[in-house]
Amino acid sequence: MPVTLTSLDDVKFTVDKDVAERSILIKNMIEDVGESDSPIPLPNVSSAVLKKVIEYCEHHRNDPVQVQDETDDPRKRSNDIEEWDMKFMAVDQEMLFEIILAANYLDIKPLLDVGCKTVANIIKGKTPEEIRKTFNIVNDFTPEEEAQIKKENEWAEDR
Amino acid sequence: MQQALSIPEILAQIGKFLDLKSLSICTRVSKSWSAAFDTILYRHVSIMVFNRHSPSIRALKRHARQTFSLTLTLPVDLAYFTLKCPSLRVLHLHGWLGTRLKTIAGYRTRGHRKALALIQQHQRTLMTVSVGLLWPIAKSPEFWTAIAACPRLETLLVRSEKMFVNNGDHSEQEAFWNACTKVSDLILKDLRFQAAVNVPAGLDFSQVRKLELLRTEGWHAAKQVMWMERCSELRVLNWTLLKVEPPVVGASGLTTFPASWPKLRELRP
Repeated sequence: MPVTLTSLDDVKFTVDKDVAERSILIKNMIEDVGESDSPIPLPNVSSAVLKKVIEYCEHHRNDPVQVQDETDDPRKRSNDIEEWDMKFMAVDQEMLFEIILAANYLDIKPLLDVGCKTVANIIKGKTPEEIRKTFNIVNDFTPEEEAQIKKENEWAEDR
Repeated sequence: MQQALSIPEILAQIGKFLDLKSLSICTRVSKSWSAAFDTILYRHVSIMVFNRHSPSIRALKRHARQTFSLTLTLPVDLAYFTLKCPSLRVLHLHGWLGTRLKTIAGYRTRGHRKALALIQQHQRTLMTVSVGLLWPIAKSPEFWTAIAACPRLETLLVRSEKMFVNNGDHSEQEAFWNACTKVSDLILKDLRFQAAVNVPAGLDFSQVRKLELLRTEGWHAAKQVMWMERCSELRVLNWTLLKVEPPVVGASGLTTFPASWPKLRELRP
């Protein structure tokens, strides 16, 4: 049974139920409402982003449901991104962050992880100034404040 | 700036995939990044003496609220024992070169007192205590009584090579075994045969749901089974032996187990 999703800019997408249900938000909505023909509105997601998200969900429709790994220890996490996902994420920065926001809103954990891994890989090896430049972030520290934080957290950098 | 990068939850997700060095660099990017990434940087803290890669006491005190797991590898500066971490769930105490601790003047008695105070301070929150090669400090009944008094203690992991050698005084061993009855997950590594002999007769191990005995040494099935059988609610047993004695296993070991543990659903290896 197909499901119709409506984007922010009122574009309708019809997808198979198992594809739509990669999103926990949509899965819960369908469970709450029951079988229905009426489209599901997704007012936080634009059609361009929703198209990408559906592409991801279609490719991963047969993946086993991810077991929630509760390990939040960074040393135990892997940064590996599989090849298809890597190509999928080769988009401009704006789209990358739109996908992350959409994955967060739609509750698609594997997609959120892939997006965040991609950002983490961009961050790695950069200085604070390079990170600010890359993401257009304003430095709101005074030089003293920044020096203070550097001193305090230096133990983690000196490897 | 991208909207996503101002949302703390998203920054926390990104932080999960960063190493310590990158996390530290991220704390210097901006105030909002600092707040988000500090939380991850100080979530799991490991302190080791002579290690430059440990945060200072001052830094830790500022971030104590964010510390979820704390590993102290002795002999660390005893001032670390006075940290107040209200969110602490996991405490690891490891002895580094355990036998040499004795030789560091005063460390044994003072260290013991401070470790005790640390555990008592966290009694309401501690969920896991992992005690490594800690025998100079852990060799006292008070230490184990303090651990046993943590109402929310769930896991106890004890690795001991020398802790339970028979020395005539059994009071700390009794206190240790009493602490073992308070947890649902009990993990004992390098347990010696002598230790099992001293399990007090009346102790009730029905709280224990998961029991892991790793590298049990000098194993003697009959003696071990006597206390293990008291884990009447056991669901998972993982038992590895250092020196397997096949005749014993066949005679009074594994074959008789299922009767003692009606709820057992997993037996490893």
